[in-house]
Amino acid sequence: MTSLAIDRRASLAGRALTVARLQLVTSPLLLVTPLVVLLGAFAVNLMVFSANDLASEDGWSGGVASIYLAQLVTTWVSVNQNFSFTVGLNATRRAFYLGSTAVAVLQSLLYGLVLFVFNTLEQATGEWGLDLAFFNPIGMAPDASPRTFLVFTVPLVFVTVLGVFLGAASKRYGTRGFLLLSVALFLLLGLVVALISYVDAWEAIAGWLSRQSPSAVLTGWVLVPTVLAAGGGWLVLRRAVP
Amino acid sequence: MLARTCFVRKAQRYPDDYRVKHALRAAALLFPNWDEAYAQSLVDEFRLPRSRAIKKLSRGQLSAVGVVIGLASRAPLTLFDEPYLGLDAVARQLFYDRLLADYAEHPRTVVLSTHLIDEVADLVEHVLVIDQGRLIVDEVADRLRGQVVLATGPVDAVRAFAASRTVLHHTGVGPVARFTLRGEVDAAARAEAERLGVTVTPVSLQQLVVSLTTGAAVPTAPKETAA
Repeated sequence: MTSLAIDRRASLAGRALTVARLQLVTSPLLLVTPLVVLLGAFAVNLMVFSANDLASEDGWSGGVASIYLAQLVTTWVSVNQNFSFTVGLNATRRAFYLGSTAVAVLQSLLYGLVLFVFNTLEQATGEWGLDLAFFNPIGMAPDASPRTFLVFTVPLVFVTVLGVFLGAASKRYGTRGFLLLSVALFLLLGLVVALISYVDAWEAIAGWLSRQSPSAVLTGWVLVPTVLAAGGGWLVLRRAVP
Repeated sequence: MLARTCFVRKAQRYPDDYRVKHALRAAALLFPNWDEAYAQSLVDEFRLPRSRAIKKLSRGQLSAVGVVIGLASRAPLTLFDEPYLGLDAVARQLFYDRLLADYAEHPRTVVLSTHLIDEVADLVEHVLVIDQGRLIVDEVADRLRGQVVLATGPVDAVRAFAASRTVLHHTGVGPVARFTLRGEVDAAARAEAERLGVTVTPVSLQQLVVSLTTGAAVPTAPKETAA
């Protein structure tokens, strides 16, 4: 490798870091928006569960999904909004993509850790003394093991990368193009479903799924669409116009 | 290369939650040569409200933010794409003054695209005129200025003077003709003009551009780019 190539790589890392730091310009607090949404949902659940007499039942709540949805939307909006400004003024698309994705993935690692800690607390406090399995709604995170951390974190990374992809796509194709693209994707999905029904393959698929453990799906197979979304995000973004 | 470039476009977009101070903070991160003190003094001079949301700024204030970023970035290559939109005459003059003064202290390449040609005529060193996507002038500004003149006088005299030159444009009222001519006017030519009773005056850069572009099929507002 020539020294020029090394220089270029170092400068790309530097530029990506700049893009990352740009996201803290308005307020560092924005980075924890999804956490605030999650804690809000948790507080509401605590209130509802302590007010009602649900404690006798085996209580659970799907409120933890809020952080996944919030992370998806905030990443989407952030990429969509920052692209025009940053790339318009002087950043390269490459630096922008790397910087934005790095921040978003670090965010999801942090959130994964927070979920993991709360899950551990939940177990230690007898589900908050209310039988409220908020941080373990589908029983897939039963212990304080690295596997539990991954069950939380890998899907978070997936929604994050998907958010970058959606942000890039909505930027590149505009509102109308993005809608058309969504319709096209849905049609394609419908076609696949119809095709599966036509060749009568549902049983085989259901059988395959039942042989995978849920945690294998959440920590392993999710990586496939994650990689696809990451690659697709870059391909879409590299031709987007600020 | 891109890191040393600053491109301020007329439709520069800012994230929705940005205030003026955020845009400056972001620019400070993006540009290695950023001069914060200079940026702050420009903000004061353009009377920009630091804490106002960018999307609530007037068109002129929005342009002023771009001007501040472009100037304070001190990027070796700075491009301004019609940076004056919505700026009043006072603010435009302020921009031209600051641009010239800062350029003198920190020489760099500035590309400025504009429709207000006469306003920047004294600033530019090199002129590029693009007419309907075609580059029709690519010339050092000083040389361009001498190249086109306005000859006024009696019709026959002006015709005689124009014989050896390209006529770009001609108008006339009764016995008096006004010809816009292309071609160097040296001492001998001036003497000839005096003998014929023709007054020769240089045209402004804007008139020059107009006369060069009106020959086109559809006259459009010319765009001047200068570096």
